[in-house]
Amino acid sequence: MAMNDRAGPSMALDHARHDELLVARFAAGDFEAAERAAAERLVASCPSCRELHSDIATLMQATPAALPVPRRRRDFRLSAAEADRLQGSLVDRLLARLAAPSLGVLQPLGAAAVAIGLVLVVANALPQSFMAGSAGGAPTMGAPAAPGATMAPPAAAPSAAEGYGGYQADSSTSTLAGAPASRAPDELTPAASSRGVGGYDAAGNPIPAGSPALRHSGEPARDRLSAEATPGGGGASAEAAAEAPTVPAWAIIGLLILLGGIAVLAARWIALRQMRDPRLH
Amino acid sequence: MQERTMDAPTGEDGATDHEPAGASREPHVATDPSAGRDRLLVERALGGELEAFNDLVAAYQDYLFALCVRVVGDRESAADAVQDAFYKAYRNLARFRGDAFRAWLTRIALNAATDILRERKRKPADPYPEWEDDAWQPPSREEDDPERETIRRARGRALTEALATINEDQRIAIVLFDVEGYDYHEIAAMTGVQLGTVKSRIHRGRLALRMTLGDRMELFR
Repeated sequence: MAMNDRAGPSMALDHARHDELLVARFAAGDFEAAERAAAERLVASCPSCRELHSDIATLMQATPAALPVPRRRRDFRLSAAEADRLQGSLVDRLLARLAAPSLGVLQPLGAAAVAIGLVLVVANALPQSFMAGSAGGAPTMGAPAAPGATMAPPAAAPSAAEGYGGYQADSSTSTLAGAPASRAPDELTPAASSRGVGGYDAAGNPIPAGSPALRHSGEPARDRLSAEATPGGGGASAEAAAEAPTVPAWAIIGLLILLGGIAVLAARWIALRQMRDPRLH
Repeated sequence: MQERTMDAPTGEDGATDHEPAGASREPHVATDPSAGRDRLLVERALGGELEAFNDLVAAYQDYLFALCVRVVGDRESAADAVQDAFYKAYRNLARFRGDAFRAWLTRIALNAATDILRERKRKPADPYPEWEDDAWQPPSREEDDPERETIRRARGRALTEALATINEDQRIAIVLFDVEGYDYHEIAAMTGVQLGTVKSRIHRGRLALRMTLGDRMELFR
């Protein structure tokens, strides 16, 4: 605490209890309206506070002029060599560019690209793969069933009935299950043919077994049955490959957008981490 | 025990964040006519023109050097701080945002100066080597009479020495406010502390200066 030589011991003791910070703030004009009365009272009643108030005001006024202005001896302009050295490698320059605040838009842009890409991929690719999964279910299930069909006719029958709607196997006779691959539609029982979906024309009239229409519509099914019945299932995989659903263009575009967004976000993140200087705010 | 009349929210040093009843000043940014020039030079420098950046260096090197000398106390260290500041500014120019290039540069230079002070604290061999040396003072003007010149030098020396003894944060706040003319908000932004803390540092720093000056306060009265 500043002691005032002119003040007596009791006055000095009183001053020691005074708020010097308030007096300093009062001298600088940095006080609340409610503090004015207290500050004025201190300055008016305490000589030490009055002197402090005066000294602070004097210091504030004198400081800018009293401090010498030092002259520099060096020129701090950069030479071309220094500038080159400071700019660093091409990667450093690229990272510096990417870390620029003006490219802060990259983050929301990247996030949006990721979101859009994800939506496109999910909306286009997933239903396809789901459909492919359900469509490919019959051959997948049927392939192993065929060689062992004689062992498991009930399993083969529904598979054939669901997967090859043109013919419905008569499981009671084990025609389909036990038949060689070459015995197909026209060797199925007429009843089975007439019960099958393919046994009716578009108007709902029954089509006689062996009619060209039924035969024609049944050919793919027969082919499938032939392939299915091939021991080893080699025909089944060829079939599956032939029937593999093509990935929609939108899914590919979505994937590209997704990857692009991830790349942008990653590049910006790496740039910010590399160029981060906590003392540069 | 001190009388405390403040009950407002406080900063880390117990100072209020309220605007003062008096002593307001215009921020540099609003009144700085060089802001537009700086922006153009920064854009050109970002486009690869080294000359444009060197124009910025030429515009601010005296100011930064004086600021750093006042903060670190000697010219060699101050020159290192200024050099470091310009290097950092050049390397990170793309990260400059806004139109207060002077304030941005000041912040970088203060950080560099603070680094030097911290380094000095770790190795306190010769804390302020040049402050005993009058050679760094500006030459006296011919129109100054010798007596006034002597007083001026004595004031400068006393104040410089007193500044060297006070807390580093208080010194920076006082230099920025009283010498460089920044306002509380600008200093808070530059130093990364609360407004109340800035005010507290300035007022407590002045109290510390006055106490350090002691009898030499007579030089200023």
